[in-house]
Amino acid sequence: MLRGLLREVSDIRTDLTAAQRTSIERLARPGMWWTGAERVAIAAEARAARACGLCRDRKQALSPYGSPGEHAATPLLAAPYVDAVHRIVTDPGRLTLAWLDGLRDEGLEDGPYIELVGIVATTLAVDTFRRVLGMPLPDLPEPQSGEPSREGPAVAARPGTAWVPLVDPREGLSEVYDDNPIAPYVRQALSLAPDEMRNLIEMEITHYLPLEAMRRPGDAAGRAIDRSQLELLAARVSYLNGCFY
Amino acid sequence: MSSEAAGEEVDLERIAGRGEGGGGVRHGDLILRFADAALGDSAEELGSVRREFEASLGSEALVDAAAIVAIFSCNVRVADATGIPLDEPNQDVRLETAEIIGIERFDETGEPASG
Repeated sequence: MLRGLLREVSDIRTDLTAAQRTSIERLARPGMWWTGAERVAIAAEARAARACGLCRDRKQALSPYGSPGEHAATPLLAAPYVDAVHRIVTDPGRLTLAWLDGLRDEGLEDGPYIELVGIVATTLAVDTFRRVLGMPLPDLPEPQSGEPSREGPAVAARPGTAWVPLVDPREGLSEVYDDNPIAPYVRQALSLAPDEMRNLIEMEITHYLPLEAMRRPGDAAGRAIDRSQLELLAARVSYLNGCFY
Repeated sequence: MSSEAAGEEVDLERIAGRGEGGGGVRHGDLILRFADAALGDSAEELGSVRREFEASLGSEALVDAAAIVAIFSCNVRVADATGIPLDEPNQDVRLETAEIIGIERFDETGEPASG
């Protein structure tokens, strides 16, 4: 059981709780490519994947693409998209470009895919934080009505650097990057869905470090663990997830 | 094998779970066990390590550590799902670290990924 200090959400840094609340609440609104109901369904699948039997079997299998079966899933999302959500959550280290091309063959375009990745990743972050602290997960919001905008970013994204096209910060500085020229690839990765990218940036600043602090060795931006401790933890988490971007 | 990180000497092999101790980082062993428990399947183990962490480093440190676990679990998904390369300033460090801890991603051709 947690000691008294952490029993109350109000004892957690307010910037953390605000960023997490925003991440959850914004799921309800129509996005660029998905309705509010679909966005909430994607988040629900991201949450369900952790307990998914098929995902557990696949994780143990030599090849992640050989285990037949279906995920118990919401009817709101087509099966390939449910599968994508589950794989991103449970076996990210074995995703491949060939797998993504298979999703494209199923009709999933890059813009909706990137919005889906943003929803999955930030929902996972909120849930992970609370699970690690032994707190209940937040309820997912009631979806709001309305149609997605179905409009990509105002600046063209270019293929070739990653599996998905990226908006070059030099070309989309004001339209996509809000005049912030500091855009590492993990931010550019979501540039096809700028609102997801902005949400990720806010999560990153509050949960890890502001970018200026990241670039200064030893700067922990006032966190209660020092920079060496912070980086050791980050490296181990990335290692255990099969990646060390 | 070790490397300079954040102004301190860090034993990178500990990131891959090899060796003993905290890798040269204060409370490093506890931090590594916290990461393992956070990403593991045992709620009991997580609860136990969490209590030890809070007792040793304090509640605020526990919150900040949970936030790091959360955001790096998130960023890993973004990176792996989009196939982004590593940012140029980090490439040399990344390659050195990959060699030390023995981690590599392989693309669909079976060759090590470029980033």
